[in-house]
Amino acid sequence: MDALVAGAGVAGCTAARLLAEAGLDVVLAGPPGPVADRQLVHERTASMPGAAPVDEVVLSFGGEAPRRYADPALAITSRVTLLAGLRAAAQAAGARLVPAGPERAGRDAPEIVLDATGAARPAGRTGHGVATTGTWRGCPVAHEVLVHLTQPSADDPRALPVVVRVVPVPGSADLATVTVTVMTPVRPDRDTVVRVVREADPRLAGATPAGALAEYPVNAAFAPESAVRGRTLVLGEAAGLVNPFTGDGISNAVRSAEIAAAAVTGHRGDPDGVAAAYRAGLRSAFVGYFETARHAVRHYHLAWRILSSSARSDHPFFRQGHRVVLLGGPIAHRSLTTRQRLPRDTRTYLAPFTLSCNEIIVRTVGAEWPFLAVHTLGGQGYRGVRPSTLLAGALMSGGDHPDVRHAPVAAAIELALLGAVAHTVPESEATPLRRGVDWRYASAVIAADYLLATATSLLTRHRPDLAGAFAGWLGALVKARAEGSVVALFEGVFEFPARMGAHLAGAADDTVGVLRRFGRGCGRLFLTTEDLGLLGGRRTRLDTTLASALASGLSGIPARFGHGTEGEIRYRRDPLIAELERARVMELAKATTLLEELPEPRAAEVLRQFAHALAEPVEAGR
Amino acid sequence: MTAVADRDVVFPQPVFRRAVRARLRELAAELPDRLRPCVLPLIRNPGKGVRSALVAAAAAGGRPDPAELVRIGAIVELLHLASLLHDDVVDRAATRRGMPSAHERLGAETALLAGTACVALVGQEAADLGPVVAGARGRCGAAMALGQMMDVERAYDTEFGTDDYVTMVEKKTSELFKLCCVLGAGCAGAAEDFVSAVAAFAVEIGVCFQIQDDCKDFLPGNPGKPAGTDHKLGLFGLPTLHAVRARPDELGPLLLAPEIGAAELGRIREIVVSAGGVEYAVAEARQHRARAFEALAPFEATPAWTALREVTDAVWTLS
Repeated sequence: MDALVAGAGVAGCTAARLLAEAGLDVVLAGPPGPVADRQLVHERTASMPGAAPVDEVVLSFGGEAPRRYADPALAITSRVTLLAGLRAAAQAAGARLVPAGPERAGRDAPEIVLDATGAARPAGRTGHGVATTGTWRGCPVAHEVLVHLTQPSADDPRALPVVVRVVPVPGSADLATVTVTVMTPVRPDRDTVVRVVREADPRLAGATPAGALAEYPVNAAFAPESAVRGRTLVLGEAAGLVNPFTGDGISNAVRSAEIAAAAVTGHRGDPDGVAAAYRAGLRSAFVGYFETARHAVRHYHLAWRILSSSARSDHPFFRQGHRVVLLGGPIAHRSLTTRQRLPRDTRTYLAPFTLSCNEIIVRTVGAEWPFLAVHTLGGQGYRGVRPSTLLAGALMSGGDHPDVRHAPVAAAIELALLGAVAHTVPESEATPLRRGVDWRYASAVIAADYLLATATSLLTRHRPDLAGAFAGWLGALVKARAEGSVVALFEGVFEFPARMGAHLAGAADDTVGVLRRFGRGCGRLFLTTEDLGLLGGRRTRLDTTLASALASGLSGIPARFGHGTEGEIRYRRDPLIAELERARVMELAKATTLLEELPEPRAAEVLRQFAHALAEPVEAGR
Repeated sequence: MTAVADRDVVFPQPVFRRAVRARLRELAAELPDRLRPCVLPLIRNPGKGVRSALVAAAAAGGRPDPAELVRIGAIVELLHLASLLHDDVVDRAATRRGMPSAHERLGAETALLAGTACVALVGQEAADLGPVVAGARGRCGAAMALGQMMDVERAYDTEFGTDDYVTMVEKKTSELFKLCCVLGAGCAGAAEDFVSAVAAFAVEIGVCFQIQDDCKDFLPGNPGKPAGTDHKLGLFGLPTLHAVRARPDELGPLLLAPEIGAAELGRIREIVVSAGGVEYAVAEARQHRARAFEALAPFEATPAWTALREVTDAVWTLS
């Protein structure tokens, strides 16, 4: 036997299948799961198509009005059906299924063991909690998935949220799987559970459990160091790869299984190599939501306060934060696996650079402010274009693949740009309070400071020679904001990564000049596409609305057309759209024509694709 | 052998202070027009100037380039000024140094942009002074921002322990003190052992300074932000944290009350004082001060030691 996979849940079956497909002799050992079924939400993929699509995810906090996320690319499947399918697929690939504990798996010692036995019982440790789940009647939520968090009490620094998740049973108008999660060792009593569920959404006012409620442990205490024990790789929920806000762990389980399988097949006969590759893979794909550090509870609490206080905000910083943190693994992590719509060979050039950049971002802010690390990575991905891609493309103007040693510069730029987004939260988002911290506004201020300072420190540590240019760039962005020049702002945002890439590649002066002009053009293109999305009422890369973009000074429409108010702009919507369409075509043509002057065709191709990606409207649900 | 050459101080403090202010005005001239009015009043009315004084003191007895020393003095003061602009927005403080705060006069957005513009200016100045200065100021800025986050993150936590408090203050306050001393000593060409000693000194003095600041809420004549600001925010200082440990039932509910007015603040003050909170904090501050000078003991009576002693004595108000 080459590999023993202990635990035949989602993580175990996926790992066993992948290892067997790679030609390893695999034993998958695990007793059949519980008889009671429940509905699971997971990412819609080719291997897990799901029984029913999710139309919308509805997110709410306490008594605040809910926020809806359309077409989230999620599916609902019964747990029993899903596991049966995954087991069958593992067996079909050649894995031997032993429907008992791993001690019955056979006598010969495996080369490697994968522990996918799920979460252990909570013992009051940080990051461990408990979920109560069952099928409920009186839940007419159609094809929507509901995620509801209680509001933090203003004056209790140790209160923790109760999270309610409602997943409709496909084919039923009334039944749903309702799961109530708390990150404490003791579950709430039945009366509390019923009350919290009924308060989660007006449609649930008459919700009642249709049978017994089951209880299962939740382990969200993930830390990359503890994911390997000797020759054992720990997967999925056993490793604590669960979103502590939602209790969701399925997509993380699949992802950790993929990383483990790649580590094992890539380092046969080298246990240290396997362990190192697994840890590195996890570190770049997951951010320690809840590490066992002393400050973990405070981090969690801070994130909850920020998310809940900004529940009504349409500002990009908060909307993106909600999406990546609360909609959990599926959406946030998908962006890491299926990055952009770039052709395959381009992705091959860029992948090591992008992964290295991700890992640096996580290492830089992951322990101190994990919420922002999740945000930086998740947000960058679904916006579809990353400044690091622009920098990597410009680096290729030196004639080589983008050198991963320059990834810290790209990571610093991406961290600083999220800081810049946080910096645009308008004063109107501040809440008059009698006392206490205004979490929404204060967190934006502190996050902006933290991100800009951390980015500066990261950059200076790696390239002290660029510290002046970096500070000058930040100064120029502030000046553009102070002068209300949104075009200059976005030109500056994109010009700098292009310039740095060219500089680091040692490009000739005229090439640097071309790339700088190209970067500025990308900024105008971004803004034009963004404005078109705002006018069309579509999802935009900054993930905001026309009203919020106007309030935050993030729309180019007032400067371009001289119409300042939302009403005026909406009144002239059609001619404005036509004009912006023309501008978009022209900017794209100008940018791509510039690239013809580049001596290095591969760099030109990567950058051409980048410009095209910028010019395309963002896909719904991405 | 002492680490610093036995020579006169390059600058008498008042001359240095004036030179730093002049440099600050030059730097402020580079700010966008809209942002300058946030910064100029704070340059004109500069507070105690402890940070730049530490730069000059740590350089005393050495051979600093005077122009460079002044630029370093301006860097640390500007970094401090930027943090005040942002802190006042987060704390919703109405006044600063007896004047309406920048966000009250010009709006929070302008004040925030002004703060960040100052940070960017500091970055350019530091880079201009070379990779060592740039690196040190980069690390310092990141630690200060983390300290600010840790400070707000613990809001309403009446069980915030002294160790956690010190960890937070070492980032929020001490890091900048350390930057002052290390850059001052470095500029004067001090030896490695003095630089490490003065860094350790600065960390302890920073904590001492912050505790002293916490005590001001309980002492008459507070010139900083309005009394009670931190209590209203739920960011309790060392005297209060100690007092609530001693008398939780009495003080706890008051600290967590939905509203804190003048009467409640008066009552909180009474309890904190009578529960020995201020006494405890003063003793802690003294201890950090003593540790600071222990770190400097090998350099006792050198010009830098004497100058640092003078600066810290001048701001020590708890005797």
